[in-house]
Amino acid sequence: MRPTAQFNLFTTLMMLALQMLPINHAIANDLLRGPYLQNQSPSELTIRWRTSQAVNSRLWWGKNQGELTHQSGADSLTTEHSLTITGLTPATVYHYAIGYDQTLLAGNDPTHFFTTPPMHGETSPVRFWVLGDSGTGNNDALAVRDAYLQYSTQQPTHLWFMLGDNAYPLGTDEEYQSAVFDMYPQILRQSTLWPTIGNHDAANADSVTGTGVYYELFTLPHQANSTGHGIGADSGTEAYYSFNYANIHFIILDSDETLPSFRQAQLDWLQSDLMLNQADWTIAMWHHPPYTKGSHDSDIESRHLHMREHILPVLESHGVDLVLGGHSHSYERSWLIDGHYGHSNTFDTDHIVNDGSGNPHIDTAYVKPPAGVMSHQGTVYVVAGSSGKTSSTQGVAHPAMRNIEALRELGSMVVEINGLSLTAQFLRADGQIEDLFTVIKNDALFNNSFDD
Amino acid sequence: MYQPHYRLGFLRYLLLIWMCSCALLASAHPDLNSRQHHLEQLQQTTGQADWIFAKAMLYADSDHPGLALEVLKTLTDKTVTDPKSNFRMARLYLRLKQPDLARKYLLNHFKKFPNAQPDITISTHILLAEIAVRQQHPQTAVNHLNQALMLNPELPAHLYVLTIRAMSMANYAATEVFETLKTGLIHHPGYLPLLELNIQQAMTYSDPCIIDQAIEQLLKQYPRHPNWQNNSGRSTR
Repeated sequence: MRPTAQFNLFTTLMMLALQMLPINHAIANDLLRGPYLQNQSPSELTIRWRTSQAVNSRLWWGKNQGELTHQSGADSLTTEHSLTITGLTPATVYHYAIGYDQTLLAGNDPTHFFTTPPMHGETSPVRFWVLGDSGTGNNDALAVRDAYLQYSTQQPTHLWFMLGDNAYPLGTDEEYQSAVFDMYPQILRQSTLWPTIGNHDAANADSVTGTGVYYELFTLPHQANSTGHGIGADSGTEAYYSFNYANIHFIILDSDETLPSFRQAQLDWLQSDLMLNQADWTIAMWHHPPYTKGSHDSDIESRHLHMREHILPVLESHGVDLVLGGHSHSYERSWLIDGHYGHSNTFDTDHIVNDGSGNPHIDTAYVKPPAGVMSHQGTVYVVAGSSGKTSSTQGVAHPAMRNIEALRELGSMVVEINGLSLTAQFLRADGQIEDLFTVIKNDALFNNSFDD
Repeated sequence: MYQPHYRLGFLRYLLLIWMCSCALLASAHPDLNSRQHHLEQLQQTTGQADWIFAKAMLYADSDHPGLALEVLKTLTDKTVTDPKSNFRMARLYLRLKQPDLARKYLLNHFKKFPNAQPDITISTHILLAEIAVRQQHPQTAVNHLNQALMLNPELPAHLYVLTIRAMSMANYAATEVFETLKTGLIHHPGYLPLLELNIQQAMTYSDPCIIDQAIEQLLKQYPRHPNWQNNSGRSTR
């Protein structure tokens, strides 16, 4: 749209107003939480924060720091602020500030910015961080965080995930404050956090009704298809949801809730969502992993069994590439496998699609057909629940997993996707890379067939 | 008169109970052993009732109903003054496959806490509906679901589907089912199961226009839906 004289006047006035903002800088403890980014799509973003006193909500943003030419707000007085920006340009960096009236609480500085995702289906590089069971709020969680920040200097975090048990022990608001909001302030204000509910979070939340602390804290895409967050189906709930980022379709499930009607609704939705999905990559995550012999045993505990027996067949028939879970406070990683839905003693070599390491520095990357959604071409399963603590293991490896035994090392996952190549790494709290695997969607037949 | 050796004896007794509990936990399940630290943390940082429920749920989840029930016996009247208590007990008994007992606790919630926060009341209605469906009492399920949806019409979409299915089982008139569908679609316009139920429901009217409208409504949200995208001239087929 061509700028009008009226728009220029508005812009000038806004810039003048913003220049005055630092003069009115509020006392530090006015801002109790955030800002934190939520529910991002190529054109939309929700920014949330908490203040100590009920005030109105103001948000300024623009493409350059110091030139926050756009403003939105809500006049109702509240301590829980949530504003959604619409009409953003995909794949663009924006700077922002939050406050009330004309008072700046945070932002308009080099640390408050966000980058919008590219349009769905585009193949730009994507880098995301995955934390599992990080909610201890202690020095272990701090070490995992610092290792990632150190490792990621000069590299973007486009989005990040929590695999559940985000705040110990009972997922209360106070526990979330110390384990999440006080622990990751920098990443929270620059990259959108996509959470998963764990059993500890569920102690103060009800997934069936979508109420409780977890659901109050996060804004999640329950109408992802309708609102342009994804190409799939609306889940109609924040307990499980999907969204797209570039050429990736992310699916976040609730493995904790056991009510049969809830489980059936989740399964029905998953089938619809995957039927409509056409992304190059499909990545699913939930708290209770289908294969683990870490601090939990997927042969015994009912939630693991349910996910393995009922969810995995659907995911694999729609070509899921990577499945991430936590709950066991260790690191475990499978070969490229397919079709194993029983107890560990029924796993055999027929279930292994590729028995290599997947690490191109050791042998070769895992290769899958190039088309986005092809059934039963193999999936890598990861347990990464040691971002806040480690615990004792079962003492034996799950046969689906490459590890000799579940690895009791603090750490987190760093995943990079560039076009049709995915590389995932387990980054230890001491900064070392413990495991690396690459999946490439390409094959010799495809290359030869289309050479001409 | 204060007798120091009595106090010592009592402490020894407590220590013995603690050691036995640890041994029991460790032998019951290796997984429980690893969570002992967490249980201790719970005990230190939360209220007594929270800890007891968390511990009981842990046993229930690990298929140790007997231990869960033992833990619940330690609840006192004082700890169940929390409005969430009846709901939590019900969830626990449902996990322990005792729906009748669960139902009693849920009904007790309404008796004891008539002015409780809507969230817990809604959760209670939903759980009662779940039990009613299991026990083949669709009318009871409809009543509870309707009350929950009246308290919060923006509840997750699958609860509308659950209500509509229960209404069908209870032989509700098509017009009443249609009303619930309409309300559901206002709050969840892109929820596929509702859109598909809408088409099914429209078919009962045998009016091609209504059927076409219902299909259009779905295609507006999902133009690429493989089951419906090639349905041009659909109602005449």
